[in-house]
Amino acid sequence: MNFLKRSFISMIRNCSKILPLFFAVFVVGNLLCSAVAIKQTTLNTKKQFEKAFGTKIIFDYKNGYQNIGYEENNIKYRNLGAVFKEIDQLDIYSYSNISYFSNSLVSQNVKYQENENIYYEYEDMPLFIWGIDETIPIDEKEYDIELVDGRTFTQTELNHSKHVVVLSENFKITKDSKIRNIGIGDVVFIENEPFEVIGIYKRSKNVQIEINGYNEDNNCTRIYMPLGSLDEITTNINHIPVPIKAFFQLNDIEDTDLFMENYASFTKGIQIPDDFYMMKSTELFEKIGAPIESLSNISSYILVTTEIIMILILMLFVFLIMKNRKHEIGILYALGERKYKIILQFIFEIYLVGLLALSCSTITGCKLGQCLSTTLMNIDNKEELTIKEKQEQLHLIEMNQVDYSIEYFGQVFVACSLAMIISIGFPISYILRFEPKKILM
Amino acid sequence: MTILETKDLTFTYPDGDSRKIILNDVNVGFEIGKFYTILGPSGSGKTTFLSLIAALDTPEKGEILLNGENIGKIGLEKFRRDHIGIIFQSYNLIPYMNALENVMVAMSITDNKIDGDLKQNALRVLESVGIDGTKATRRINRLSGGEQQRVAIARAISTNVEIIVADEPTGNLDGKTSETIIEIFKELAHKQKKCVIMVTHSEKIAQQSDVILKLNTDIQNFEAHTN
Ligand SMILES: Nc1ncnc2c1ncn2[C@@H]1O[C@H](COP(=O)(O)OP(=O)(O)O)[C@@H](O)[C@H]1O
Ligand SMILES: [Mg+2]
Repeated sequence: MNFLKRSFISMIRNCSKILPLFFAVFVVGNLLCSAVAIKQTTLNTKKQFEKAFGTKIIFDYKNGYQNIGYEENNIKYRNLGAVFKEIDQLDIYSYSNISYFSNSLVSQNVKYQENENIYYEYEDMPLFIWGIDETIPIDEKEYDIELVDGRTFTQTELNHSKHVVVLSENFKITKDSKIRNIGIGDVVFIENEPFEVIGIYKRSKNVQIEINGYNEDNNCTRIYMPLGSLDEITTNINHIPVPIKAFFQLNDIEDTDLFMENYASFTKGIQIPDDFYMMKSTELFEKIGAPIESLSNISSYILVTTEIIMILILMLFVFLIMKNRKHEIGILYALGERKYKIILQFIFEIYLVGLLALSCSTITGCKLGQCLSTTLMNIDNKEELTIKEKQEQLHLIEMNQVDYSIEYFGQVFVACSLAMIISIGFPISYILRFEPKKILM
Repeated sequence: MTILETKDLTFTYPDGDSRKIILNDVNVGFEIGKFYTILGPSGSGKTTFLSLIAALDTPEKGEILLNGENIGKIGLEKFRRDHIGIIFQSYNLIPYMNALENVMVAMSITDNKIDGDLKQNALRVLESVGIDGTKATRRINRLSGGEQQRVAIARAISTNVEIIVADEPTGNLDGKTSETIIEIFKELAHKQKKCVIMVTHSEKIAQQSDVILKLNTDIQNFEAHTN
């Protein structure tokens, strides 16, 4: 009949007296769990965000491509291209890509060959030829396009500036809606140079890029090819391509400052286009991550408040239980039981009930927390975000599943355990300060 | 052989602005194998005295010695656990446990050696005070007052202590039941060589003990009578 056994006997036989404590802890446990769930969620999201976007620096156009093509602007674009090339030399990227574009090429000059015949049936439109120097086309990394047929470039093709292209699936339809039989392995001519079609892409359904100038999508004028090949054909026609998009994925978020210093020193004193902008992922997070941040704050408040309520409720219940059990404490103490064993007996008994209630509330609390965090996120969704930013946010919410990790349960249990041990330990220690005669009176 | 003695034991309670003296320099000794009764009218300080020698409270002045050693030095908790068995007027049993469990609680608290199986021992001790096997597993509140007090006695003696103290153990019991309880105490002192100290306000009960210690309210001192 040691103190642990006494705890069990008491718990089983005093069931009805302990039940209210069970329900109190269950209710508070639910609150606590949802608060921790929300907090954990927001923290996870922030971490994942930093992992996924946190080290990304993107250069892009503010207003689409409408200003490109005017000769007076080209010097600025070329300056920027030179800056990118220099910055790209830094050894801080896990991935980087600069896409170039030439509008001196026109679609009229793209021909395709079918049954030995060569057709010229494109409108006189500027082509958006993207020079690629990575095996993954940049836009695929940004969830913009997806390959529907064939493949992307191999390292050899990029290194040797092979004449290969990835075309839009829209190339299969002529402007008068006839089906054109273009496919992998076919040859198209660009500025009289033959290019083998190695891949067909389509735009990802849910992403629309706003292009004010040329309605790039419908006219399927975006062609991907190795950067070397683009250089080659533009040199042939005496034209230097301009950067259309640059993308730097830093190894380490700490390197952002180094990047910014270099960027500042390279651009110092030279003219660069003013509709070209840089977006650091931190800025992106501030924009789309704001609701997540505020959620994190709310959950912190809930957590602290719940913990305080938890302690107060526990103290109240434990106080009531202790008042009933004071006599029993006196008996045990009169029999000469060691103080710490009496304290442990009661802590164990009440803690066990609390733990049981807590375990039950974890299950319901997690569900509650999940619902709550999703709801709060949606309420907070900002209207002024662009479609693309909303896309990113949606993506974030998708990632935003509560992680039922050991760490998560650990947090809840540590918080509750502390609350319980404190609220049981104090009153018993107080009672045991007196001699048995006084306790039994 | 004196096992327990008090040296200049003094105790007062607050009484308005002054203090009311209950025990004043009490010097008394208790021997093994003897049955003592402490006799005195209500309010004379019997419970106060018993609480002090049972280490349920601490004296204001003076000492309580176990075999010549101050019990404060032994440690009050340890003294209660290993050297003394206490029987209260109101039994003080744990209500949600049965008789057997109540006895086993005390047995598992003491550091004294108990030979053999704890449960068998507890049943044997209960048997010796007249609680049989079926009653031993009954909830405490399903037992009569006399039976409950027997359980309390079993609890007190189950730990193989030398000293048994009892505060008006028959106060809530009828005459016949009281008689059997007193018999148990006599046997404990004379056959099992315990030092039994019992508080009572009944002259008739006191007459059955070996030594009567009269607690006199006026002089706040003991007056010993050997029967
Ligand atoms: N906690 C206390 N505070 C003040 N006076 C007390 C307290 N306990 C007992 N007394 C007083 O001390 C005297 C002795 O009490 P007690 O030892 O219980 O007497 P007895 O057991 O002989 O009836 C009584 O007059 C009682 O009123
Ligand atoms: Mg009394």
